[in-house]
Amino acid sequence: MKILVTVKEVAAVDDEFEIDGLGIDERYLTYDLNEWDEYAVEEAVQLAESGEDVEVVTVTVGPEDAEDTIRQALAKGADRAVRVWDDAISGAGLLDPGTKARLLEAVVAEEEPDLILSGVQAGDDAFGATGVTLASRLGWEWAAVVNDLELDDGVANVHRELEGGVEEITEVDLPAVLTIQTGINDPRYASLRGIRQAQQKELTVQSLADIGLDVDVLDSPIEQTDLYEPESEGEATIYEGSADETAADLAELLREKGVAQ
Amino acid sequence: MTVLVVAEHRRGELRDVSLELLSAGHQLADATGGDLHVGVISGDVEGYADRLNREGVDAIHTVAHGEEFNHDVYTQAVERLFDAVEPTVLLVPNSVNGLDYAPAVAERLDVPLVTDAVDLAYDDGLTVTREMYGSKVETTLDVDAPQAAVTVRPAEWPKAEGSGDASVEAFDAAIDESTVRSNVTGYQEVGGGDIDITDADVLVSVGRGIEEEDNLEIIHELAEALDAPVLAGTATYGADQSSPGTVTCTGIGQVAIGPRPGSETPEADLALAEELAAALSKGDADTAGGADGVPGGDADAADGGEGDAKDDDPPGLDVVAEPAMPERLWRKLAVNVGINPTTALARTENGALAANEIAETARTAARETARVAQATGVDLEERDAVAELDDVVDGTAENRSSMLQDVETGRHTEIDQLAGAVVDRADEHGVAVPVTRTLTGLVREWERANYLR
Repeated sequence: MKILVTVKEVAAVDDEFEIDGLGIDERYLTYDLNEWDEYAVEEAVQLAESGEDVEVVTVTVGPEDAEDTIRQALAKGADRAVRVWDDAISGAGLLDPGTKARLLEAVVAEEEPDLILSGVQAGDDAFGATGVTLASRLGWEWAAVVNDLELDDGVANVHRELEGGVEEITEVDLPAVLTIQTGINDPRYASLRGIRQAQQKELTVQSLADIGLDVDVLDSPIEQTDLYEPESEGEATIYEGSADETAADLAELLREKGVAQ
Repeated sequence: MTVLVVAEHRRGELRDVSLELLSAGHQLADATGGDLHVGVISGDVEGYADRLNREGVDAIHTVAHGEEFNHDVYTQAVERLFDAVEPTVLLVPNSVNGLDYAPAVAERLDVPLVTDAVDLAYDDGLTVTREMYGSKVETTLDVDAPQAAVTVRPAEWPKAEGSGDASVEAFDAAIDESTVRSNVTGYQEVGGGDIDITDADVLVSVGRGIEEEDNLEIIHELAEALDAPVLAGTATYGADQSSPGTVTCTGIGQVAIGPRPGSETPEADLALAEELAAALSKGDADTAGGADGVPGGDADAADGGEGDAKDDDPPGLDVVAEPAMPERLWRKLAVNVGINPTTALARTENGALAANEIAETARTAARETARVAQATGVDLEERDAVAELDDVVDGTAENRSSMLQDVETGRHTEIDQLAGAVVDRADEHGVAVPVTRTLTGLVREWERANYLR
């Protein structure tokens, strides 16, 4: 059996940050393995450990800088990795779930996995739709927000974590795409041995052409037009300096607001 | 333009997000003088249609097929409804179930999908506002397509009200059973959580800002206006204000909620507290709530923290329902009266109270507090108060109490809410509290000398 796990490197934003155009200034971003994908990788590795002859392959749409993150997944037990990227993808705007699913579909055509695990969502853009879109493109079954999984003969028995402390118990026919929720397992820490071995594991880089796609696949009707900090409900002003200066500033503000005359 | 909304229900109940989607859909349709259509699939569709017939709704299409949500049925039904209604925008809840069919519907119809919308506008084309990076920023996305699908975040729009005069018609979605390859076999309650915190209209948590017990009157007025019960609560999670606007959790403790002192409905309050505690304790609880009751001044200082909270992934809260809330609040007050003034005056970490002469001062203050509690009718034994004090001192030996931190940074302390409140109650009931009175006087004098009083 072959399990394909989608792995994304996501950016987290510092508490204090600056906006640069339609994104966040790079200085305030920290990159890491997407939290949900970490659980998906662990789930796949556990299936491999409990089954015979199971290969776990990760697939990432991301730049070369993402390879450290991909190696993390390899260090935790994935067997090899595929990374899709080229200048055209790098220059494209928003990669919406439809676009991502098309790219992944092409990788699936080459890898021919029996099961695909993805995270429920990515911590940065949080679309939460790529996995189910991919399933639909492939004509496969799927289940979103899975927090319990057991494979049976041709069927995945899953629990889906609904709102309000209720789980839905569902059987889905295989092959399927399952989007994995945090808490389904306890992701392991990579061992030193695992980290060393990860450096030797195969990491294939593929361009759009390599996976048989044309640049048209990147055309999206969805365009990001703005990015801004939401208006905060309240704002605190801190006056710094000597008492004389700050008192004058405060007096001016009070007059301005009509509190004092 | 025409808007098509898909309603959501679960186990016989229409979910609130359905009515919120009607508001979002009405707003969009209205802006362009178009119609609002609603689809409701599976279960008691007639009953749901009645509830969905609100102001602004023009047509309701019922698809009677099966009882509960099944994504293969929903995907087919919504696809066919979309073809029949030909909406410009399809709105689906951004719920766990919405995300289980909306992407498949959008893919089959070949229309763009934007998820988790917090605002929508239509002016020559659809503009969706959504959040990114854990709500740190908002983005706007323009959708350049004749038709689009959007999932809408719950609790962002008000629930639609009024009654409408929509036509209600059965829609034959001709579900192809051979393509239904998933089967929902049941449901399982997790942690007994009957309360969906995200579904609560209002959850008010009253903290230290309330200052004095007398000020609780405004909370009771608010509760009356909301027709909501008021519970008492206390937390021993350690916290530290690391910078303005940033509070760091320094120790995992426990939250207790239960009937407040003087409640007229203690049994109903306890039942509610049990439900809330179960809901808040489950797995990845990311919403905290609860109300602070105040026995003799607020007793909720965060000194009881133990260990370090350093996991990236916050654990579920440990919340328990406490039938004897007044006793628990007084016990915590006794601990705080024992620890705070003594460590602040002696400038020591909590651990000093384990052995040195100051230990007896702290224990006496805790015993005095227990005696005052008894005088007010609360069943708190002196030895229990002391045992709890010793436990907390042992568990937080390296912690610096909040009052010590206040004194070191030259801030006004909480002496009035802690030891001062005990002295006031002691005077009301004629209980002698010499040590607590002395500690109170010393800390107040320090505040005066530093122009803080």
